[in-house]
Amino acid sequence: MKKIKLKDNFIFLVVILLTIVIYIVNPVFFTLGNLLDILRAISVPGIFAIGAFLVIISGGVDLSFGAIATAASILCGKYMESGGQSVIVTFLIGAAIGISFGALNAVLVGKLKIPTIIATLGTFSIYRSAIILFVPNSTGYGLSENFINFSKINFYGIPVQTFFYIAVCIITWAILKYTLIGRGIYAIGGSIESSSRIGLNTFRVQLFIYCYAGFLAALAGVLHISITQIYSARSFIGVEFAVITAVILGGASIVGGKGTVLATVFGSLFVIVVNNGLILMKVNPYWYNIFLGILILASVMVDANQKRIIEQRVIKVNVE
Amino acid sequence: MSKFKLNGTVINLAIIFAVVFATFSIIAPNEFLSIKNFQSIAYKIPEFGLLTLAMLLPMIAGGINLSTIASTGMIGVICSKILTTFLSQDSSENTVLIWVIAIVIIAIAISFFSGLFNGIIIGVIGVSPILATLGTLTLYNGVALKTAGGVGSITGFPEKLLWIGNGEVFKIPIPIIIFLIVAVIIFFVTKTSFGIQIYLVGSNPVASRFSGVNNQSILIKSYTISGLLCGIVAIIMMARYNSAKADYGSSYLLQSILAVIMGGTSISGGSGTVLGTVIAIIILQMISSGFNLIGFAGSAYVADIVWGALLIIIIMINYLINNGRLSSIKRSLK
Repeated sequence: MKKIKLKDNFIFLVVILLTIVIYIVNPVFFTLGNLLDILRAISVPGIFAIGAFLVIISGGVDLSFGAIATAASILCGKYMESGGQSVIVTFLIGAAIGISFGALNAVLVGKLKIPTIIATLGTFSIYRSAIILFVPNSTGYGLSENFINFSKINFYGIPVQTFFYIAVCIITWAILKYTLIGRGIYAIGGSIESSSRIGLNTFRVQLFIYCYAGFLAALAGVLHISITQIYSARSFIGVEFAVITAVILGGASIVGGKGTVLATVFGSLFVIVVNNGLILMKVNPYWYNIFLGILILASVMVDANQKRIIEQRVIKVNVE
Repeated sequence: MSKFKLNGTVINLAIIFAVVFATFSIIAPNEFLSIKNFQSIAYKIPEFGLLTLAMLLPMIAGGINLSTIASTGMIGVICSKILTTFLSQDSSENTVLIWVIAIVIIAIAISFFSGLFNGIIIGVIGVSPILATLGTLTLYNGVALKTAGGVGSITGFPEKLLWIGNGEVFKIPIPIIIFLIVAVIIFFVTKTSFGIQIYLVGSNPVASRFSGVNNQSILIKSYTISGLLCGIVAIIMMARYNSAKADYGSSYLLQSILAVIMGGTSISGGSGTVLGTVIAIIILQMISSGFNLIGFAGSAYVADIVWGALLIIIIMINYLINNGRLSSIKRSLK
């Protein structure tokens, strides 16, 4: 229990330190404009990270969220291009796609017992290719006027997309903390066999996880077109590893059962701030991946070392 | 018992191979059954096949190596940078030859250390393979981008190097000869006591440690071999395309995992054969060039869908067969 707290603080401290360093090098970092930029930039990858985080604490890995977001953004784009004006319908289309694709993932994982990484690797390739294949001209700009107006809404300069992100974080946190199904997610992440033996309907929990993760992926896809004002089949290529990196940096355990929403937010924030900060510090952007790679390795090595020390202690206690 | 299971996977794959081959032969007999098509498949298999073999040993050991492509890209870019810096148009024949040999050695050396690095992080420090190689993936990719100064490609290699990628011996492309040699070596490696220990570590690391296996050294060795294969791929890719780029072959990453799993390796480790993996590689390559030959719009995406569907179906069949076998064992016990 204590260790999780430590890991939470770890990423939090790193983010604080990083912002101080960036601020010393370039005070522009703490200007309102730049902070608002960060808030806008974090919303889409941040929502992806929350979805990926849920799957990871349940003991799986989702590789299909980029493909679901691609499918949702293209179909919503097509709906608007064909003259659809309603913003609500646009989001409903996205939600429907996300939930149904997520449900298919859940059936493969929960009913057919396919390891999550394989099932979502398969559906990743199917969803993405199918949508590009069956929807001709999968790139376009023809967004509806209502949608463009919606995307420009802001409260005191804070863009509407950020509010979606905040809402997603709060709702997910509440689900995990206060609902039976939320506790079930941690339980099946700890041990799926034990949780089914104590009478948990594991398939229902998995159905919820994957539908919710699919929904979040689709939501992020729609918000992405609201920021970039363009929908394209190429938008989310390679997003999977960056998002999983953010979740892992937040300290969620890859074997499941551990992790918090707040730490995931800091993980995402970290990735965005590194990106933003290196630009502000006028560091050659080609250093970005080297820097991130070293940080990931340092973080996972520290974590592994701590675990080993704790294990050794446990073994000693057992001997005595 | 284990022998029976392995044969089962290989038989399944042979049936799929026959079905795919027959389907394309009926749909497009003139194009698919041509020498040209088989040559094109033969040229495409080595890179993809070697990257898949690089994925195989770590996966048998219960891990995964996500850094293969990044490592290949990094080695390719560094070697190209060295070559283009030290060689000019008017370098003499001998200098060129020496540099080509040197570059192959450098590539192997870098790949050795990049693999060793993975092995140490996973084996000695005990980081889970997916996280460790996610980190090295980012790091190696960063080094490649920094060295190349962006996503642009470095071109202009001497003829002698290009021969490795495009030359033929007795009408057989050199890359495929390299691939076959490596596949045979890896096949025999899995039969040695070291190879059997990889399976042990993969199926149960605690049990293997208590039966006297040095888990650390097994993990380090299997990731180092995986790294070495990436170095070979880097040389072949440089020589074949006369250029190097940080993100060459990035689509191969998920595909190579797919091929390994299709070849009968369990994601939790402890099983898998070189023979099954090689058949899976050939099937996947046949599917993608088959759809390419039929050549309607978006055929590449159909190939992708077929790949994804095949992956899920094969795992399902394996699961059902294993389940059936389990319940028959239970019945016989009663």
